Amino acid sequence: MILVISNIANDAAQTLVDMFPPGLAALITASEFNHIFKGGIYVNDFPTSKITINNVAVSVSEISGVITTISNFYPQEFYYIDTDDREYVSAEMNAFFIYFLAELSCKKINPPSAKTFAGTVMYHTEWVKIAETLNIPVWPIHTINAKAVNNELSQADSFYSCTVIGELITGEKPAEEICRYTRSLQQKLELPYLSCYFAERTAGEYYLTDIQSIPDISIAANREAIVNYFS
Amino acid sequence: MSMVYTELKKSGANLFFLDHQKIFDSEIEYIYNKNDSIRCVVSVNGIALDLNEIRAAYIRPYDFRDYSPMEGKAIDDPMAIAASGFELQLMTWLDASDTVVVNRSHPAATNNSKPYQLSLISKAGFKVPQTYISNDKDLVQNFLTKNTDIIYKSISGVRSIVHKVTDMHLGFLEDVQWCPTLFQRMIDGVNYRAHVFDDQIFAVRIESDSLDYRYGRTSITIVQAV
Repeated sequence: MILVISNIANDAAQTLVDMFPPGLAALITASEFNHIFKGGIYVNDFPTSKITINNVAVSVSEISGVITTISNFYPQEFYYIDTDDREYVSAEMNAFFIYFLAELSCKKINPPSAKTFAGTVMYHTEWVKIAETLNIPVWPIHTINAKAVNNELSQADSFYSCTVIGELITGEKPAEEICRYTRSLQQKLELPYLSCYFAERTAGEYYLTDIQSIPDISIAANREAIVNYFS
Repeated sequence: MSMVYTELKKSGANLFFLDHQKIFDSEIEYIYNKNDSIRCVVSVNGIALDLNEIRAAYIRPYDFRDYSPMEGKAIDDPMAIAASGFELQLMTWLDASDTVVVNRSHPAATNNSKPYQLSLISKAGFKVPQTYISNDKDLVQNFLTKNTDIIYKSISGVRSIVHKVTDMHLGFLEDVQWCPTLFQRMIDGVNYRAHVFDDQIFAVRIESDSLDYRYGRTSITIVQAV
C-alpha cells in the first residue's frame, strides 16, 4: 500500500491516489484521520504493529511507499475536535506521524525529518551555502523578518522551474544547465523529489531563487512521474 | 536564563542578550548578494548585532503568543507574522552557521516527538520502557489487559504530565479515537537525569512523592556520573 499524506483542500491528492491501481494507494488527511486510520503501534517492536487503513488490515511492512504533500498537520484541520483542544491534538498527531513515517522502511518521495513529514524543508539561509559549494549561482535576496523588502526578482528576464523525481526530470525540459543544477542539488540533499526555481538575468545566465521538497501534485506531469517512481 | 546570563557576565564573556520578550521591537535583516556575501543583522531598540560576528549562541525558545502585546490578536496579525518571521530567520541562520549553538533546531526537534526520540535512544543502545500508541479502543483495552502498571502521557511535548492508568480511565477509552494516545510501562524507583554538555556530564538523582516529579514534592541531589 502507498500512503499519500495531504489535506482535504488539495483535490490533486485524491486524483493522485486514483492514478494507482484500485486499493493500492490511500489518502491520509488530518480531517478524516479518525475514520481512515486505526492502529496500535509498538514503539519497541514497530514491525508487529497493527493498523487498518480504510477498514483494511495492513501490516506496516506492507506499506510500500509514502508521498507527502504537507510538512505537518494544522490545528484547523481537526474540525471534529473542540476548538480549545485542536492545537493539542494537532501537536500530538504531528508527533505521532513524524515517528510513524520515520519508522516505515519503504520508498519515500520526501523522507521525514524530526521537524517535518516532508523531507528537508530548507530556507534560503540554509540552501544557499549548499548551492555555493556546487557552484550554482544564487539570485540576490534582501529580507527583514523573513519578508522580502526589495523585489529583486522584478529585475529578472524570465523564470524557470525544474522538478526531478528519482532520475526523471518531469514535464518540459528546461535548459541543460538548469537540469544539471537541479540534479546536483537533489543528489547533494539525497532527496528523491526536488523542485528548483530559477531566474534568468541575461540570456543563458540562470540563478537559483528557491528550492522545494514538497511535491507540487497539482501538475499532471509530476503526478505521472510520482506514480512511475513507485511502479 | 538569568542564571546563565549572570554566569556569563561573571566570566567576562562578550555578551549580547537578545530578550525574547522584546521580539515585537526586534528586527532581523538578511542580505544575500554575490558581491557582498551573506549578512544577517539583528536590531533591537537601535542596537545592532551582525550574526557573522558571534561565535556561540544559547537559545531558549518561548512562545511569543503568550506575551501581552499578542492578547486578542490572531496568529495572522502582522505583528505575529513579523515575530514568527524573526524567529524563522534567526533559527535558520544559526542552524546553517559554523557557530556553536546550544542547540540547533533539528536535534532539538526530537523533543517534540517522544516515540521518535525513544527510537533514537533505543538505537543508541539504551533500554526503553515498553511503549504503545493507539487510537483504537479495542487495541488499547487488549494492551491494558495484558500489561499492568501502565502510565499515559502526551506524544508531543505539549501538556506532558504523566498519569498512571487506573480503573477510572477504562471508562474513557473511547476517547482515544479522537487522538492517538501513548501508553508506557511504569518504571518504579528513583529518577536520574543526566545533562551532557560537550564532553561533560551533569547528573542528578531525583526522589519525589509524585509519579511526575515536576509536579510533586521533590528532592534533587547532584551525583557523580559514572
